[in-house]
Amino acid sequence: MSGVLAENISYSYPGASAKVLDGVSFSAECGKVTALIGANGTGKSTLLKNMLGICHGDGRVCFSGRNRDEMSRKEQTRMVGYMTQETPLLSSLSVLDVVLLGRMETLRLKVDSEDLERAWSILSLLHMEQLADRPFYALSGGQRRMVGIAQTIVREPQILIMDEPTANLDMQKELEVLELIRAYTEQKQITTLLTLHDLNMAARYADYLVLLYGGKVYSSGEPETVLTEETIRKTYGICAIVQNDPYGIPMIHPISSIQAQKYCFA
Amino acid sequence: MSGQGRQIYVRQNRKKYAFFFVLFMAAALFLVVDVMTGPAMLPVKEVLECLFYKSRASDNTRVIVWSMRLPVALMALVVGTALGTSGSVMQTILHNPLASPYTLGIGAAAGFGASLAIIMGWGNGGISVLSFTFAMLICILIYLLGKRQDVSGNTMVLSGIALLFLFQALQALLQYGASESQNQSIVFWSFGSLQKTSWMKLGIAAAICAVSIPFILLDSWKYTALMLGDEKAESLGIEVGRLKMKAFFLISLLSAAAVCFTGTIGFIGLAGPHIARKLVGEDQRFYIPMSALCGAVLLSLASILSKTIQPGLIFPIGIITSIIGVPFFFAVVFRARGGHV
Repeated sequence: MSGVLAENISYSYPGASAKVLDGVSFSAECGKVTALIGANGTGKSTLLKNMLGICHGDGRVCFSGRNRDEMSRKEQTRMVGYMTQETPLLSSLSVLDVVLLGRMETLRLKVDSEDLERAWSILSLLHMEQLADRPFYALSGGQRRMVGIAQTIVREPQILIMDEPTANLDMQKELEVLELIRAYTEQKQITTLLTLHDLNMAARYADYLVLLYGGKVYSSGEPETVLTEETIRKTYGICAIVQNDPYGIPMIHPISSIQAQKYCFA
Repeated sequence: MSGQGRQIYVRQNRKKYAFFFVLFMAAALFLVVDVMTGPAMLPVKEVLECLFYKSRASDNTRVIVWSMRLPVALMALVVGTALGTSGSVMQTILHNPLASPYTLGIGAAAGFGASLAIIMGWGNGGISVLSFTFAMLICILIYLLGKRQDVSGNTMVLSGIALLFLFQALQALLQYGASESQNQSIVFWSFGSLQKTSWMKLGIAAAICAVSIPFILLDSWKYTALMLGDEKAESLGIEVGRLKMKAFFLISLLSAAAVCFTGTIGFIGLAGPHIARKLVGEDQRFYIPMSALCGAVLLSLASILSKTIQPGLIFPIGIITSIIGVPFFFAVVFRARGGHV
């Protein structure tokens, strides 16, 4: 069953005539991780914002078979968990408070036990109990991402949308975060849609890829069909060698940028 | 497992409740001391007796306490509450620690309105009405500016500062053409004073606080989410534009109500929230009421000092708030290591 369906999404920023998104259509399935990939500025984040109704472009979006336009804000929030790119504001709120905010729908002035219980169980699930009373600004980048994930999944959404969940993370944290997202998606049978920059990580952890180029879907499908030397050259402007690892997962070895080859300082 | 979460939650908030208790007691204490203080000092026993058993007090004491000093002392608390609350919400929704009713030019606009009323020969009521109107007008102006999509909180604060200068200049222009006695009234008004308080003015200001503040507090989790950024708050299901519009309307009412009856009292709206942040952090359920309480305590303290610096003379309170506020403010803000303002 398709958890997320986007049909013909088009958008241009206010005051600009050029379209950032031009008729983008794709679907993401339940129990699978779908990754949006593409070079910088191809509209990955803009696409997510359009799907969530934060930007208002044309097209139709369905979540779990229901048209988003017919859903109330409350219903959408309950169904869809959205994690933004890393927040630039470093608050002194405690980690427990930040996770509690994920349950905005049910939070009262006097926090009730169920909200606290859920927040605490997510923190222990992610092995972060010891951080609970730490101020948010005192965390490392990786820890902040983990708290962001905790905040997003604490209300148990059916659909998880994440904008660059691994930005600025070291290799170990990157693998940990993606493994967590994949396990959570499979075990809870939710639909996960995320944007990723690292093609090797996308190939390893996503079930499906949607490759954006020039505001359109250039290619979509399983990693081995999308990530070919030809598509990478065309959409990222780089020469790369693509080989399969022993598990049959494509591995991309970037060689050079086509743009860089044109530089001449003589 | 849940017990542990609850334990940490209770532990992190226990200190905050203690601060509330201390400041609440301080406010009560200052209220009594404020009523005791004046050209004729009243003993504490007499004041308390007069407050709780009105009929037992002598006529003289009853008039001094109930007709003269109590409304002024209560007004200090109410205006401090209004300024503290509006300053805290402004800082939250604009993501800027410099935002306050004074720095956004609300005080200056009210001052201009009051000067205009004084020059036109209007009475006390007219002065309040016109200063309230101009304070609301500048709020609408700043709000309309902020509604444009590309205007950030910082731009709104900068626009407020620009409007502050504009209204100060307009007021100076009015003063330039005013008579000596009109000038005296204008200068006195712009110093800020609680002395013209009446029970009716107090009632109006208190009613505005009583109506606005609960609406603000009901949204405190939403304001807390704004601490992580507008986009993050939006992702948590909050309609940020709508929330800010509602907040801006309520805090405009609060700050206009505060300045129209007492004149320009700077600093409380800036210092109250900063001190509160140091004491209870950014959880807005604590931060907003603590800002209100800090504002009330600071202004009450200023009211006492305005009467005790030189016995028999009452200094304008606006001068006192800045003089005592600044060192106190520096002490609190810079004591925190790391300077996380």
